[in-house]
Amino acid sequence: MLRHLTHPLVSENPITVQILGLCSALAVSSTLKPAFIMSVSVVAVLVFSNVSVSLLRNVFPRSIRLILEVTLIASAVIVVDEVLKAFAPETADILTVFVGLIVTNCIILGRAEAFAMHHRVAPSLADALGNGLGYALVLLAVATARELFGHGTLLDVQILPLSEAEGGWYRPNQMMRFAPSAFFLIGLIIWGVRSVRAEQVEAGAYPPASPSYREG
Amino acid sequence: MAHEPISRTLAVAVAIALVCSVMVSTAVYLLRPIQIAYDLIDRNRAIVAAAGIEGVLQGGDDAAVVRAFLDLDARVLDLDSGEFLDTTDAHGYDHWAGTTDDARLVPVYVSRRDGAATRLVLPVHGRGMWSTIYGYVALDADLTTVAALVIHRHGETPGVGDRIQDPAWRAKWRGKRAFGPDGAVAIHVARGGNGQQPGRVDTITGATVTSEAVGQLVAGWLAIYSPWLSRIAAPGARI
Repeated sequence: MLRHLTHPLVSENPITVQILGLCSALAVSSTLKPAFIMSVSVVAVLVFSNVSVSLLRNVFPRSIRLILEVTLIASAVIVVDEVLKAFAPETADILTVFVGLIVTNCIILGRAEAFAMHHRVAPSLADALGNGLGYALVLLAVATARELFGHGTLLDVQILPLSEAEGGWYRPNQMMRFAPSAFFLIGLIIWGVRSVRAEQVEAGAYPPASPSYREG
Repeated sequence: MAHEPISRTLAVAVAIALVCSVMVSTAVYLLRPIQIAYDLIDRNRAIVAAAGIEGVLQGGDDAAVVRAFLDLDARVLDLDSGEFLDTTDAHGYDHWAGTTDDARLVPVYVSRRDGAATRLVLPVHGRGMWSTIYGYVALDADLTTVAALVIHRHGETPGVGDRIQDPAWRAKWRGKRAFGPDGAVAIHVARGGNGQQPGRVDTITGATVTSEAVGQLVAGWLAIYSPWLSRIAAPGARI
């Protein structure tokens, strides 16, 4: 049971191992606060979708299973979006479309299909929390690095005194403010994790010349 | 795979759809008043910022923002006649709230010090890259120098187009000439150039389309306001 919760944190992390949910991880990781709100939103949607899909898994007609899953997920996302617009409007303004795009986050539908459809409620809940936290872990790590080096702040508190302002020494790294830096950082994280855990390294693509990609 | 009767499939689909729609509409119904209140304060904040009353914006004190907003001299301007419409409460009037595109009546705001106008805040809106951008442009008392540009609402790309809200870029508008000596609109957003033109603002690197769109919509609205502005700038006239 605990395995479902802890496994997705590192050894089956949805971002670094399964390379899922990358688009939002790139887009909303420029500072810590929106990344945190985004993580909470994804965890909330993931928990709702895994639990409801698990509860209804024997009721779902097989032919329209996916449509019903997406309906549940989309409804949860709309509710989360409305809650954010009411109670965290400044952050909702920063996140804009990316809250709505949680619907298309492959982690959510992936866990509903791969896990919740075949498991009872309790393990599905643990799996949702585990994957949500695994996503949050990477997102927050990237956002911490980007905010610290791109703005010299953490959660809008000045950590590194800027040289532009009075008497500081730190010149912000402009690259960290833009989305591609998240790509580099996630790449570095994946490299780091796979250096320690060599079993995560994927076998080479089999026909050597054929291109392959996975969508996030 | 076991055969499923269509009736059951339909029944489950309808049931799930019903439950989901009730869930979504309940959330929207309960949260809408809070969102509307936020949007109102946000608009007040944008207008107060454009009017140059920076002090109340720092503390996060919403009541102070609303008070500063109500202290502004607000008027509803009829663009056709160039006259103020004194029958409408201008502080409560939002010409963007309506569903019809009735841009004929716009609210304008004047900040005053000891009775003399210090800034004139004009609403502007227009097409961005993906969304309609709403904002306010403030003119100094000479009615030709741009005092501030504030973006109120937009749906541009996060991290890219939304940099039109960056204070550093918006600060570049300050002191620019809105109108040339001939009275034509001089303000524009362009890349390159030698910085000699008094109405030129640089585009944002990486957000060229959105920042040029802001230039277009500000220039377009200033052209709309310009007959009225030249009338109130004439000797003897006052706002």
